[in-house]
Amino acid sequence: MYWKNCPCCTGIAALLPAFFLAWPAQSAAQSKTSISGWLRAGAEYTYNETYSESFYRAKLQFETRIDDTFDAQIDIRGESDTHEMELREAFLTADLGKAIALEFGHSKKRFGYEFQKSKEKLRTVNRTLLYQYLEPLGLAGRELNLRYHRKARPQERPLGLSASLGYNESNDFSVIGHLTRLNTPGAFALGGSGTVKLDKIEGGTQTVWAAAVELVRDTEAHHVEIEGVTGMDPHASEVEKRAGEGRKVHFLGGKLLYAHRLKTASRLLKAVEPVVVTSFLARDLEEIGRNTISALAGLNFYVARSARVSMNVDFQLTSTPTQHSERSAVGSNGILQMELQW
Amino acid sequence: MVKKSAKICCPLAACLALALAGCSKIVAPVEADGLGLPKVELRLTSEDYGTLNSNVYARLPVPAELQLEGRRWKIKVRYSGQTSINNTKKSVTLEFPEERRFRGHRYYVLSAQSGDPTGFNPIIGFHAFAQAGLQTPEVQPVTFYVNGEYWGLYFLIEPIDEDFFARRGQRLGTLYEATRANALLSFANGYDVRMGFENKGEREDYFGDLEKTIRVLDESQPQELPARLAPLVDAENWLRYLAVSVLLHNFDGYINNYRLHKSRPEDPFRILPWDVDHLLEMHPTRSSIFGEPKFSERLLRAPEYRRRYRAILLELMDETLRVEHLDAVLDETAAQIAQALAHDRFLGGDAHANAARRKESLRQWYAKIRADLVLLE
Repeated sequence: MYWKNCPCCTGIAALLPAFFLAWPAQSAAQSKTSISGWLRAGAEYTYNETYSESFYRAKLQFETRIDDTFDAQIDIRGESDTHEMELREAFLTADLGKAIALEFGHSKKRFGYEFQKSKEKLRTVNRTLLYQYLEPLGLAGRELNLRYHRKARPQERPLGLSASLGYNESNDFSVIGHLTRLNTPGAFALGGSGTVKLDKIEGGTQTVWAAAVELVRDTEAHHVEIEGVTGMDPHASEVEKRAGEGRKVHFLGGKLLYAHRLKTASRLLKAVEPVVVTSFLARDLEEIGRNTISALAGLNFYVARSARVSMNVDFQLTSTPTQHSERSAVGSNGILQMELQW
Repeated sequence: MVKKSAKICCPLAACLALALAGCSKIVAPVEADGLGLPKVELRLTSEDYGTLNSNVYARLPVPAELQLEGRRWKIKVRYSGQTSINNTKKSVTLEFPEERRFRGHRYYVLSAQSGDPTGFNPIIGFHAFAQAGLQTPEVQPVTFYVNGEYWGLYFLIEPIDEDFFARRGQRLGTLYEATRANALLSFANGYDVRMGFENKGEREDYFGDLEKTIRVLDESQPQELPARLAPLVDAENWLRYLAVSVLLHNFDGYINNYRLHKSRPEDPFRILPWDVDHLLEMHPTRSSIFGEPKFSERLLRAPEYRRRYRAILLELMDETLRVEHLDAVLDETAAQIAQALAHDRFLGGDAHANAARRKESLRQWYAKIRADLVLLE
């Protein structure tokens, strides 16, 4: 609504597609559409809930090649909770060659390692504790953005880059950058993300920032992710400004993930992949004793190249507000899920 | 294989060690406290919560799970409000499934009532309007939790929509919402009704009946106004709305917030109060026996209406809304909301002390209105 009413934003919105359209198209080749997606079905139990819940969800992704340069992609989701289809992402990509591209549309805010990739490419069923915390804060998620990205290539270009400018319907503007360098150190890739967000709050705006570093090793058998993230919590800081002492609230989190794919000789079961993740999250650095520790254990059974059955048990312990030495298991959950990709 | 197992087991053991080292005692989670009021508990996934927070002004609904009155719903939730949507403590609208409505409604408002630092206003406001004979929505104070976090003292307020009228055996018919603090009852200075009224009735984009009413208000001589206005407006209802608004300083309800309704085209317009979070506070210009002139001036030029308005004020002050009666409502509400208010990080304070202050200011204000009744003679 505000987007439509803001003349400056409307102007930018009008100019950006024009910029894309003015890009020299190589040929008027016939458009070609490919469809991909996934289907998920399963059951989830959350600690302290009376019932476990079954669910089914599906994603349909249409990718249309308009010509040699342009590509349009839309992502539609549906789930059993709502019985509705929802347009999740829609964006246009200009392929600038050499794995360099410019994107414009509603798509992921690529802060942190897990938001560099789609959910179905993760080793865990859901995003891990850190990202479950970052997403409601608007530091990760989806919004309208203009993004430049350059993929790292093992042989010729070890440095990958993603930079985006975003805007959302809460009148927030953000700049996000992500840099990754392959084989630094050894077989690991070293990466870092940073974001600065102009966050609209009651009576004005506040500037919010977050930074993350990652160390990732991704081979056929082993997968390791080590991540650290820190930044300013926009919601808690706004509450502090409005109803507290006005201080800025900063968070700190870390994650270690290890997955190991064990191939089998069975026709039915192609591989088994145990996954373990341990995470730590302190929502307020001034009260670091109040934090959440999570230990997730999972198993992925690859029954075909594009089908897997996953089990995740996430044991979360959060210190109670009054006694930091006491913890409750609120947030712990277990998920069994079948996923088929095409 | 042994090597591989060791590789897997080591991080797992590290996870568990880390988890267990961090705590000396694992305790059962503390049940969210209702603080003396019914609890409304909302649960959202991180993804949906993120979508909700990134689309505040789009008012985009997202799926959520609601627990209320011992029942669970799969609902949709979105932020709501006009100017209050900018506030840190936001109101939300709950959208229930068609087949599992809440109190007969598809939609229900969970209002932060952010203009009210005491938590009394929606209770005493709607109560007073109902006592004066106006149709009012149901209101209930509750404590609101999102993903286990206490958001504060909130109010479940029945929305004025098609379901509201259906529950009362009426049709939606014509319904206008006074908005943008610009709902004027005069065409002076080239006023366009669409600047201050939104049509939420059956006939979209039609403002003809409202424009006709305003034209009559604009063009009629004081003596002929009651006769010309009678088919268009339920004057008794309008004067009662004005009287309660004046007695309770409903200063945000003269050119904003109220609803105009009629079930059938031939019915006169009646006013329904809405969003009464600004009450019982002195306003520099609107705290007077005339309220806001933009609302009352044309009506009160008619001697018949002025006399009737004076009689209504007296009746309300002496009988229906006498201070002792309002004292009792304030005391009862204070006892109900005291804990929830004290724990609300945006409000806080002592409900009983607030009630005492309200009682005192009501007495002073009633005395002032009594003294000013001569202005209506």
